[in-house]
Amino acid sequence: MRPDLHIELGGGAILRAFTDADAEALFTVIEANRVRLARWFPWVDAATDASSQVAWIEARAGDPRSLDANGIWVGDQLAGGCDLLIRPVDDIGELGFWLDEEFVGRGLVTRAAQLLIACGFEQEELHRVQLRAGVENLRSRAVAKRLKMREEGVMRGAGKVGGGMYVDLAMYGLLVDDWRLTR
Amino acid sequence: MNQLLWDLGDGLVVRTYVMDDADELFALVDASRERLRPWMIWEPTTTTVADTRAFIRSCLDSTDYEGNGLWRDGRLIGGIGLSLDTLANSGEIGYWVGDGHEGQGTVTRACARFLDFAFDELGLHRMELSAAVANARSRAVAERLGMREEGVARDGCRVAAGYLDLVSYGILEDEWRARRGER
Repeated sequence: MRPDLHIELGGGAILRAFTDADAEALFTVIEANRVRLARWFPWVDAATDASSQVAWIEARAGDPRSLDANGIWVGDQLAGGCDLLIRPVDDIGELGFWLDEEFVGRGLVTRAAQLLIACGFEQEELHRVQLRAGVENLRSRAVAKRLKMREEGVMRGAGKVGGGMYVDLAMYGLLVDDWRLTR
Repeated sequence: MNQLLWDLGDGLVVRTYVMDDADELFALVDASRERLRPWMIWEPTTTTVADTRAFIRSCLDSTDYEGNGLWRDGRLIGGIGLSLDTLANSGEIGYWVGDGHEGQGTVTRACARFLDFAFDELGLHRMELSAAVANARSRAVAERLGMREEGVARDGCRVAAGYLDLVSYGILEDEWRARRGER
């Protein structure tokens, strides 16, 4: 993560890296959305209290290249998260995001992802950004389409979600050359 | 540290590398370098026996099953490993063979043993295998194992000459059991 990451998203929204002081707010939003998020994400069960979130934020500080552990904030309210994990062995980035239910449908994730991807390609010289989304997670897949990512396949049973269930994941990819053409 | 030792019959053995294997492993990689270079991401970073020692050490220190040799009549003929994605309860298998040892079905036999291990002993839900689209021999292994082709990640990995399209294969626990005739 980049502790100094701070990106204006417009309309009073920002994307900035979490600090330990955000752990309580982060846990509160996850708790309020627990069942919704557990439908698609494997990490929800590990969010047991605020201190679990402190541990996660501190662990992510050990990866100084990735653009991850970021919150989307609207005013002083935490609206969600958007991450770009970087695989140093081949300069490929993996995108991930989630939202509090109250903030769905405002384009916040699309905007945050666009700006993180731009950082990844321009500053980190990534070659490819990829995203995996539950096949039935139509909102996430709509974000991938808006980001001009190309659907490349479906990995059956590749996502373990809440309650020990498995979901098929659609895989999307965006190459730096294609991204430049869309700009 | 997870150590494996499997006798597959006909003089074929899968055994976790120990530090004493470094010289033999490096010699086989070095002798097979030209054939491995187009496909193996680790070929350019394996230039001395010290690199091989560091690789074995990192395998011995990890909780995956990545560093194993494929031995025939006591001689190293290739390598095979399993890496875990604990959040997804899945694993990925990877392999290579040295010059002169291709085309004998040894990799397929070793992979089948790894699939048994993954589903029967580790309780995984899914196993994956990725191969360069143009690497017909590697893809034939996945196909012989009954793994299903699920997609192509464009420029999904980087080797010495640049990026390669990567085809991904998957097989689920119930599919492997059905293949073994357990239903």
